[in-house]
Amino acid sequence: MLRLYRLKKRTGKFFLGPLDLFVAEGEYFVLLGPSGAGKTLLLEILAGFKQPDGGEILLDGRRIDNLPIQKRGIGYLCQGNTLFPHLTVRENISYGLRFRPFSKIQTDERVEQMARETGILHLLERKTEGLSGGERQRVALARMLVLEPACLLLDEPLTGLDAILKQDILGLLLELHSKGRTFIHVTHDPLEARAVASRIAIIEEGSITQEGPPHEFLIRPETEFAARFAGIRNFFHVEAAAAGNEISGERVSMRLIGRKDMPRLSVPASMIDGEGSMFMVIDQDMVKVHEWSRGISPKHNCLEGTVKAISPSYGAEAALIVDVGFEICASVTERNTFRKGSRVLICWPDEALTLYKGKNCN
Amino acid sequence: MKHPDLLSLIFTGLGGLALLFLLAPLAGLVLQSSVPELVETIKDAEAAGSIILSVWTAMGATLVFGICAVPLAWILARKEFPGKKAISAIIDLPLMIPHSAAGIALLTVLSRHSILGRAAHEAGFSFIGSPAGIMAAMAFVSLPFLINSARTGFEAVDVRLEMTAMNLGASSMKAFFTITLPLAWRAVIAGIVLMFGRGMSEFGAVIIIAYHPMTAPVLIYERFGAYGLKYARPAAILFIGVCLVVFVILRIVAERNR
Repeated sequence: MLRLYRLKKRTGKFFLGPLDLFVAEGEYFVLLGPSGAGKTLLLEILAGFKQPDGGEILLDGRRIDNLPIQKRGIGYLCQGNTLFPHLTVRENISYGLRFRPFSKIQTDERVEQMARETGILHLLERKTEGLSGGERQRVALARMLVLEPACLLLDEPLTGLDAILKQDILGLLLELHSKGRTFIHVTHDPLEARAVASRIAIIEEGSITQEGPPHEFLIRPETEFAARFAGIRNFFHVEAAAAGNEISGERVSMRLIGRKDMPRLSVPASMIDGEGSMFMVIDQDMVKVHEWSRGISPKHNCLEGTVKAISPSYGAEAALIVDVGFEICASVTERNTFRKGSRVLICWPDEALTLYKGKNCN
Repeated sequence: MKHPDLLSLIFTGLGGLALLFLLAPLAGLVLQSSVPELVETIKDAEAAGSIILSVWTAMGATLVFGICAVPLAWILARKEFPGKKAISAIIDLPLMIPHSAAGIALLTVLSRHSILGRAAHEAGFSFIGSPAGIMAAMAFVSLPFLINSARTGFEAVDVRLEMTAMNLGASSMKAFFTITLPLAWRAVIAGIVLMFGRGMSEFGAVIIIAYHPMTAPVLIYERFGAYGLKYARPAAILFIGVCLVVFVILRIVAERNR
């Protein structure tokens, strides 16, 4: 369907790519990344508003990067309100049909069918001025989809909508997608990405750092950023400490890559997958926090530290950020037991650990 | 009833003074003239001719130069290129320099000693002392009003609307005529009205290029110099009246077209 090959672009000091990407027909592909990662720039290049410095864009095997905007067959829903304010809803939706060989009757039929599909049939004769954010987005979607683009690019389509409207539009997007359409949706919101994506790619500083189905990406993040977006706070890039540091034949001591003089983390040897570095996740819900007292002697999977911050958490009462040399996060059910600066002991069972190899591991 | 706050009171007082300053001379002009004087001026072929000349040359200047000024305004609003700031400054220049100096500057390109003037002369035509010269003088000092107003109007149209139109299949030309121009129309019309009004009332540059045929501002000046205030006043009232009527008509047309 849509294939990018070594696509690159430089604007000022920002470099996008080189990107290689494939989006299959009928896929709901989400490009997830923070502001300034190059998401909008990439969409503008795909739609033809900006020329890449190099690389190729192929749509259904046909090269389109040298085609004018109007001939690419790619719909692009820009961020924000892009309805034409001097036209009615009907005129907005039929705008693109003016440039195609349709009679007045055919145009009206298509507009009405699309309006029905997007739930805005009752708004057709209205001016766009008084429409709500959700209605506007429905009209904008109808205006694009009435042209049956091979692929629709959605740039932060839920920006500025309240929670309920977001749900409505996400529902509509999924429904429209279920009819076999191909969507590429750009967002900075991981919840939004998870809600709709059949595949997610994470874009950071102009490069795609990880891509895969949402479930894989949620349990196996490969960058700090991806982990943050997956809601994982305890993400580490580790390697086995130098030989001779094995605690016993059954456990291996791991150290954080790029961080010297940090406490080691002990893991069962059975979790180690060959040589080289690995990613490690410690499930914060399984990390136990104990008030520190002299009597306790730390065992493996236990570290001493001080509470650095107490932050709100979705799943639990609160999340404690504990400084043990590096930061480990633990969910706690009682917010008031611990104070900032308290000395604590944190422990976790082996079941809280996930170790895996990733693209960036050596 | 809510008491007005101090700020509103002070600003209303100061604003009222500014308004009074604008209205007082106009009121004085009207009050000191009599109806028979005005009727006589209307019947005066030279006065009426000068007003008609002012109106049509200003319209011509706005139309001819506006066709180039509006595209320039769009380029300035949409494109980034080296020297853009310098060009913006040059456009504002006629607003800063004395209009008599603007007339002298124009003379250097329109007189018979210049390339353009010589070419016109060979074609049996002269800018100096002709309606074409008057139009050039009017346009020179009034173009910035149209360019700046239209530019502000184009800048106010979200560029994403143009992008969306093109993505929906419109050529850049169609996107301009179906989206950008209709949305910036008010500002363009306001610029046209300003340019037309400023051109019609131009005196300094016009008198250098063409003392004859006489436009209304030149006629008012000449009557004042030769015969005094009493003779200049009715012509001035009449011209101001015509200006007002033309403006009102243009505004109404602009509102209807919106």
